[in-house]
Amino acid sequence: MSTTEHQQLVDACLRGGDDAWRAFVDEFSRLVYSIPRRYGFDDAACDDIFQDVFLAAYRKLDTLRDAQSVPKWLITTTVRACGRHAKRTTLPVPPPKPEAVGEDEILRQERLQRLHRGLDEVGGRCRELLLMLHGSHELSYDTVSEALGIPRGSIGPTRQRCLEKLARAMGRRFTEGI
Amino acid sequence: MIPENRFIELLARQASGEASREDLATLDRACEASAALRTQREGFLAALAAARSDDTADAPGPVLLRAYAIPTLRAAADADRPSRVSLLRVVFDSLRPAAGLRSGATADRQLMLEADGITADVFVRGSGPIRELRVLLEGDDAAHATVHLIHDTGSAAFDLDGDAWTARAPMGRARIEIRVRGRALVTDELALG
Repeated sequence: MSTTEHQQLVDACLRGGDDAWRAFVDEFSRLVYSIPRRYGFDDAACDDIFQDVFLAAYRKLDTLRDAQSVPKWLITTTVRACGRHAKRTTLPVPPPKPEAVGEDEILRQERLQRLHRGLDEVGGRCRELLLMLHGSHELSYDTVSEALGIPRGSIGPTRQRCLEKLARAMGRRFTEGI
Repeated sequence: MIPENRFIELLARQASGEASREDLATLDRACEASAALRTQREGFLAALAAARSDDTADAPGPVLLRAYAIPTLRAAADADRPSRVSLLRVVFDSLRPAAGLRSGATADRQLMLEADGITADVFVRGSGPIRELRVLLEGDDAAHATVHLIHDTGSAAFDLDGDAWTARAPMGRARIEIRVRGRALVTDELALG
């Protein structure tokens, strides 16, 4: 989704559509949920922080309509919520203050959010294959061949086809912004 | 102007490291001529590069379901919101048992609160991170009341257990709110532990 589409989604939420709110949660769920996970909160705290952030977003939809970047607003709000929860628990490394989260990190998280929305759109085996080849584990063709049951020789062409699908899916996401 | 299919094909080739020099030169020329294509190329490659350090995770289904329900729950809460609010006056607040408080000898903190003809005895117990709260109500409208905890982590209703309203809450600061016939009787903020 582009910045304009995010604003349209917020507008739709303000008009009161349950479907719009679900779409809003779906769009940003990974972005929000990943932040407390990254800081080492347990499942229950991640759940609480997630609900706190979306409740805050729901209450401040008016503000969000005018926000330059909905993801940035959510990232800052989530980091702030993590800070509040951190006071009640012990973490190996305390979460940073919202102002300490640099633009580079916000940009990285926005990129990952858009990537995953693109991968969701591509779906199926393409999604799995791209995550295996381009994700943090960077698996070999042999491993991918075995895991997905694809002949090794066809992984290259399949990867090319899947990257093209992903590039198309993400194309409009990059027409504004990142 | 490069055809879209050709641009996508070359971009995918660059992303997989399979692009030739000629492919890259074609992409460079296309991006020099079009800011939109340049943005798309940079964004796509940057997103794939970010995937190498991807530490994100999907939210579990039950977590999503709770978030989906926020508008419904908010609407219900707003409809239920009392129109008149009174502050519960603290008649007694003690760490020691006192005459007039019922069965609170083992409580860590006891309070007697009063407002609008309702009296509430509050017992706070527990030494770990979780506090147990017990509220006994007395007054003409007590039978129609419900008790709620407004904690800095969120709000929750007490459960009625016999003649006592009970709840568990993490340490922190909280208000107790008694809702009865369109009125809310609320405490000042109380320290739980």
